[in-house]
Amino acid sequence: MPACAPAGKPGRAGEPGPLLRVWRFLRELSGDDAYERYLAHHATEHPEQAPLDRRQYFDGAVRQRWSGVNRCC
Amino acid sequence: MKNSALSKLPWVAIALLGAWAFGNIATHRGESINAIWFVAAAVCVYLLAFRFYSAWICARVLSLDETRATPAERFNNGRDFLPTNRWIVFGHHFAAIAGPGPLVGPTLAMQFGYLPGTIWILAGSVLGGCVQDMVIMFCSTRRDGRSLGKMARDELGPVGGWAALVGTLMIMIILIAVLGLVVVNAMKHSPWGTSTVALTIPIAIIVGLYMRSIRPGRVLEASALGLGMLLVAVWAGGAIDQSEFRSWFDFDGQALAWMIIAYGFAAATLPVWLLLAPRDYLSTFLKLGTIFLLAVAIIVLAPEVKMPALTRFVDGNGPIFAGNVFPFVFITIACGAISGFHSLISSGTTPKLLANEREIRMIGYGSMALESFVAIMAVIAATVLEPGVYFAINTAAGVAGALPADAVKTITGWGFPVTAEQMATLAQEMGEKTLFARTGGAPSLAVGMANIFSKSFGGSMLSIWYHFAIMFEAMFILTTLDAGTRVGRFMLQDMLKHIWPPLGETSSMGSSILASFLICSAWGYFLYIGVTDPAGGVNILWPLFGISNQLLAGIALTVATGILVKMGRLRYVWVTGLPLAWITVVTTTASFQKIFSTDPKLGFLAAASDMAAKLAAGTLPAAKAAVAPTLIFNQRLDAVLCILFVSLLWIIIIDMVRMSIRFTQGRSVHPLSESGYTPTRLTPAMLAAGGH
Repeated sequence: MPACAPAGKPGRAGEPGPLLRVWRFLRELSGDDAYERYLAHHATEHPEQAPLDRRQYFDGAVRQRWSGVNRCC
Repeated sequence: MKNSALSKLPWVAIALLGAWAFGNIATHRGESINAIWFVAAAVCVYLLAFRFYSAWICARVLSLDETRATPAERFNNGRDFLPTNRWIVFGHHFAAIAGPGPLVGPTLAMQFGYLPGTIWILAGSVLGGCVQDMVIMFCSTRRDGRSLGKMARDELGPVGGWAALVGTLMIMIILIAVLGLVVVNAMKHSPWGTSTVALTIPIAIIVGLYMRSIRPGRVLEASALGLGMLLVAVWAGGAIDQSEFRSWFDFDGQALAWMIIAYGFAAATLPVWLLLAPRDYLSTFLKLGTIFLLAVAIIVLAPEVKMPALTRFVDGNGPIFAGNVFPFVFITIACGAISGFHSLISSGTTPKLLANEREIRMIGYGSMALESFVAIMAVIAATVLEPGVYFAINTAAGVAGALPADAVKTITGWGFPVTAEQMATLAQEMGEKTLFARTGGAPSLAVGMANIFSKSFGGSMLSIWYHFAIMFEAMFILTTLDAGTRVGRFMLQDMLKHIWPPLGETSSMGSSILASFLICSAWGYFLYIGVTDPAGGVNILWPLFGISNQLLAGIALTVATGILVKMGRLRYVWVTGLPLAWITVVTTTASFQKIFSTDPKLGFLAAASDMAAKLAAGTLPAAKAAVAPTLIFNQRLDAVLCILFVSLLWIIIIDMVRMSIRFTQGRSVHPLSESGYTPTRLTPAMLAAGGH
């Protein structure tokens, strides 16, 4: 996992601090950590294949996200 | 349950507080009333409805099953099907459903006074909109995350499926046109507003390039960069307004309409990562941030609401749009009370992310309650203005009078005093040349927000706050516009492929350009007519949008009702049946009046005949006579559209009733298309750890 420490103080070992939790929530909500999640999913589900690189993954994710209704009035 | 009496105490207190606050709003007849009462009444209503009504529906009507695996778990592909933390799904779902609708509709509906709109927003959401969103999400989750159109076809048959498809495409076109009109009216002859909104395009492109080429997928970095640039753009617009370049950004409505059409076409055909996706990230952050800020500001400031509870315009002679309070308050406020469009999201991306069925309640019902609260905030922002100022901003020049002196005389004559000096000072404070006849709702909302923000957070930077609010509204209106054009393009290609298969290839350049061109022409037509209409255009387009959105809600509720019948829940069928009946009565009455009313202000056909007679008699001024033939054609076209909308709704309802009768008689019907039961293997601990 790449380091993703926020500007604030990190939590105690094992227990993520509140700032770190907020940061992780924000990353997941915005899709900032989507590639890391994809790598983790890929490593367990399809270990035999090479994963996409960051840019390939991002291109696919954007295309898939914008192929249906996802914004409302 | 232990302490059951004690645990109910807080709910009794909430009920009492809510009743007190609501009673205060409903019976108040003084000069002004504090906005805190609105916040208190709304929050209590949402809490009670969520705690009791939604829980009852989930347990008794839908029988949510915590042990059943969701589509996200069964088809987990690490991408669109993905069991996700419920707060994350809540955030995604809310960001998807909350658009400009709940801000614009309530602003316009305040011409009736604050009471009708407020009652409808609260009652409509907890009994209608929230129920629709939640039940459709449930139906889709039980059907592998299928779309509303597909569910309509599976459950009711081809007629239902076809109606849903046509209805969706129509609403998309009208929605984009009216939103385009709102932006055009906000930018008309406003170099500051226009330059700030124009700057958002290169900013989105820079963010897009950053996210794709410089640091792929680093959403937060790129968004922080973009948001910083957007704030600079608000300031830069002011600098441009003071400079010699101001004339470069000073346009009339027609010119801006062409630019918006060209922009929509470009956004639908350019690669998504370049403009559409980065703009969406920025607008989502801006939207959530500003809504949060507005809620804090309203609570901190506790402003006084100056609009009366009811105005004289409940009788149907309103200057912003024509028609009686019934049915038109229910048409004008669609989003924020019940919005059919939500059913596309509830049967779109969201059900594919749900880790457990029990979360349908919080995400489906809760998100809509939150959107309804956004509508309440829009009510507050519109009603803290002096009523005279509110009407001066929102009444078209063709109604109030083109000169400030005429307009203030007309509006004061209605019983809402306002002076030309007052309006001039206000325009100067907001950094605008004039605020008369700035129809569409966006400018008056921006004035209200600027007042609230500048008073709550100190500083007298009214003009900065005003243009920040304009940028915020334009930002997500344009996001809806380009995303909608793109989706419309896909839907159209899906239909065109039946005529000639190559037209359906979404990756083909020629077919994409053709479909984008057709979609942009369709909404561009309505937008352009709206801009040329001396009565403002919004008065025609917004009711049409409301009717089409309620039509889609009607289709969604019909599908849901049909499914409840087939699930054997006949005795609870009123849960979706009553909102459906209400929507049907409202939409049918409104359409009937819009088509057949003999009042030219209200009825499309009467307006067309009236104008044709005046044109023939030669009594129209030259400028009006030039556009009259187009306006006459448009009014007749709008009448045809109304007929189409109502017919679609009645066809699908009759189809559902026919099917329900057959079902209760034990005759054969399309079987429930629910997928089979699979036990879940996800544990709460797995979900807490990420669940992937």
